[in-house]
Amino acid sequence: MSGPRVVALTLGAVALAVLATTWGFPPGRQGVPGPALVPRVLGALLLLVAAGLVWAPGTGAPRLVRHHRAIPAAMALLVAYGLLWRVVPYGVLTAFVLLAFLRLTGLGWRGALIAAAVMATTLQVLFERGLGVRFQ
Amino acid sequence: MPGDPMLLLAPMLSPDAWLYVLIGVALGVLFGSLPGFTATMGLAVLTPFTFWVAPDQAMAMLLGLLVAAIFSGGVPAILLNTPGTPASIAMTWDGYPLARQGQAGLALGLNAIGAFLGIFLSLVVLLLAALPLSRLALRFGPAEYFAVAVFGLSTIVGVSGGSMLKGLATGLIGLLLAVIGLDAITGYPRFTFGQPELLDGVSFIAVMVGLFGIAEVFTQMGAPPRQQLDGHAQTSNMLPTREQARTLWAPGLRGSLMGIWIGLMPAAGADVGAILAWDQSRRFSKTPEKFGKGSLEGLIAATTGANAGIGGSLVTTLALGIPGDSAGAVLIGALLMHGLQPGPLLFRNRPDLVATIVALVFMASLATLVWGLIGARVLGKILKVGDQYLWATVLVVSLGGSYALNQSTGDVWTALAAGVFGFLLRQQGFPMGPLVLALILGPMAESNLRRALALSEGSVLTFVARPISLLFLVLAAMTLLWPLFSKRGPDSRLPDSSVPDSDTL
Repeated sequence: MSGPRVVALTLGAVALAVLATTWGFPPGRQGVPGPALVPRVLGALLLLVAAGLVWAPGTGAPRLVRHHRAIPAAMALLVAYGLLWRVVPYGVLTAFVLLAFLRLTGLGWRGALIAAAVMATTLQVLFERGLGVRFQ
Repeated sequence: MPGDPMLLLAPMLSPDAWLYVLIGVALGVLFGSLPGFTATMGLAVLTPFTFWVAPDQAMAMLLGLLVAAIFSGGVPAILLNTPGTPASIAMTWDGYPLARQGQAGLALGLNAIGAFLGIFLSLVVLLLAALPLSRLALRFGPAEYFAVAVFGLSTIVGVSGGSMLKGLATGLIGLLLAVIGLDAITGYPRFTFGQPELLDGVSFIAVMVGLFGIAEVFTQMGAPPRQQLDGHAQTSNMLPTREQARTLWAPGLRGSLMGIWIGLMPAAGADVGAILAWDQSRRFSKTPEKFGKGSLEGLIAATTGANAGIGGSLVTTLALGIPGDSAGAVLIGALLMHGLQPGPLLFRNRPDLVATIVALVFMASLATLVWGLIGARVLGKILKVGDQYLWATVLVVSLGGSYALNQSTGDVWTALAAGVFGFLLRQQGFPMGPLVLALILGPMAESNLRRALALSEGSVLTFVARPISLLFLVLAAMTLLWPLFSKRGPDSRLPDSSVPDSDTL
């Protein structure tokens, strides 16, 4: 099954979930629509569009030509970054994430280490000293 | 009124304003010069950081970035035959042949002069439009605002790129994201699933950062590596001779007017303005055979056409609250973040802000002109910056910026989710422009629809009984139906070019 068709089926499922959820919303009063009207209309339209896309899915964007493994690895790295956000001090965590990302994209150890250390320090100073952001 | 000379002069005499404009211009040069790194991406990444400064300082940075990025997109177009932004596609057609003929300096100089000319003329139009728009503001009620929002949403057809159905799908996703949170009329929580963080709705800034920052990095990672500068680009003799200048003013003026006209139309971006300006200049030229082979007229028309669109699109962005393109959507998001609602009332209630915006765009274009004429020697160095460093910077700055706004990890997850899903959807050919447009215009459409119905006691006739509302609804219908009557393929007379994703500027 083609990618756009998979997306269309997923959108169809989302549309059905939206329609089902709005069932419990309160009704409108005195001719003025309630909070369910717009989501219901949008859900119905999304269902129609999803059906149209299943019928005529079209083509995807040009295929990836490099970093086939680095892209999902970078996504996983960022998820780990998010999970450890408040656990590990920001500067240390950012330095490790940057180092791992730069290595994933093909940079040598020396360049990656220097870049990660400089960028993480700069960002920590910018956020904590410059903008007063608290990470812990 | 916004055209008051004192209001216009005030920012120009402020060292602070110049400082923020120059910061924006520096970032814009970086984002615009590097193919793949777009003006919209720069705006999305920078927007959270403007939260800490005053609205006019925020606009100084953002507008400086926008102006410099659109101009700088012409640099790789001329030197590498690779448009830095979609707006500079038409500049490859004559700019690169000129560089190959040893006239890279002149092409870069014309790019800088054309950018300044186009923006200057478009600002004149913005000022001329300010007074009638501020008068029109008095006649706007909920029905009119709803109709304007519907018209804005109808332009999804225009920003959908190749597939209208896919554009409609992402537009509907944006509208559904916009209804998450407490209902503005009744206070009923919709789709919050018991999560208090969702009561205020989905963070628009975090979604934008994800879609245009993080997703764009993943897309660039998978794209072919960009071409490197061969080091032989000659960057001296940047100004045209008097003889050359005499033949260039007419195509420059024509390009500017075309760019302004296209910029005024929602969803018709600077890329369209530049292409049409180039095509029109060829029709009027005494030497049309030179177009596409290194014509100075073709280059100045394309440059003025792309840059004049900035002022044109600012009219619709500020006056109606309808973003002309993705960059306009981010600008609206930044204004909303600072508590400013773009729309007709902005021209009446905050003429000082409108004047400041005009002055800031002028200052940015002046700084860009100076940079374009004297900074050509370092342009080659910018093009040598490794992609990895920029990808890494954009990723951590995007997530850090999203967090910093509310100091909430929820925004980090929102940005990350938007980045991953945005990338996956783009890989299947779904454009992201409609999603952002819908996210901005959705709440405006829904709240005004229900307010108008409440005022008219449930009668939908209120939307057609009011002339301004009717006008915008008719325009919306025409915009939606236009593709059914316009089945023309791409213009085969236009030169080929490596066209980047037209989803972002």
